Amino acid sequence: MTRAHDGTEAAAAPTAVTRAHIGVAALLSIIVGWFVFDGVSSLIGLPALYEQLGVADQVPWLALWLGVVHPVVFFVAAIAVGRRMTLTRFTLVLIVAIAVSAASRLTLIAVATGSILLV
Amino acid sequence: MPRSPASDDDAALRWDELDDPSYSDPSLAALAPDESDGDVSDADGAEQGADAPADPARASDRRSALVRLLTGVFAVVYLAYTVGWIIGIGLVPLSGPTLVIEIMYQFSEFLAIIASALWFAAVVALTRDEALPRGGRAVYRFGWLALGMLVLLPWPFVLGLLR
Repeated sequence: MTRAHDGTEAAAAPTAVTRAHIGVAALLSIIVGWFVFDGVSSLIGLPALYEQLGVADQVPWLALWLGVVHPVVFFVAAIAVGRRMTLTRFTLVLIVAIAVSAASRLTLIAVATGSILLV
Repeated sequence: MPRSPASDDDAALRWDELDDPSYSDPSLAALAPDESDGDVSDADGAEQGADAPADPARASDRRSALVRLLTGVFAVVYLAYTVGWIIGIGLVPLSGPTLVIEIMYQFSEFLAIIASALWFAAVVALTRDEALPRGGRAVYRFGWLALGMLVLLPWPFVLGLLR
């Protein structure tokens, strides 16, 4: 599509990665860092718990490793998708990625622990 | 060939990129036989010329209506997902050992609840761009919405039901 020269398509036009983009990504990466920390905590703590319970052979290693990796994967994918967008849209995409990470984390916890209590 | 931007203040308000395969040139449409309006008098050339470009407009309206309908269907599904997450979170007993971790757990549960609505709103908002090809906009929108349906399936709720 032909670009208008009056700025009406400024929001849609690809933009360069600015310091603001990097700043927002750095700020939101703190939350991602917490998800990774939580995943690492589970990766270390859950096998020990399973061992105490005498079911060390049932440790859900795949879910535990996914718990560590998936927040980073989602966040990097969001940066790749939104890097050419305006700052507002870029921020929105990163927030969505963090929310999806939170949902996926609960899914992994539900699958890994099997502690679903049907009420 | 792209239209020259020079001295054309209304350029941003029109969709007439000649390189775009979805673009239908009104001047060519006016040359095509009018199949829908058989009652239009041939003698009234001006009236026929005015009606001819209406066909692409009607097709566009039908497509827009279909896009709106499908978007509405996805909205219902994502709303159901949100309800599923609200119920599912109640089925996953989580509590942090410290106050800070408990706060982060509650925050992540809140994020999980709004994730479906956020995904839907973001996809709809980001696929409105004129920068995307007109036909491609729907593909982008429904592709991302379908992907979200896979990623955001409320497994805690589903697993709870299966048990």
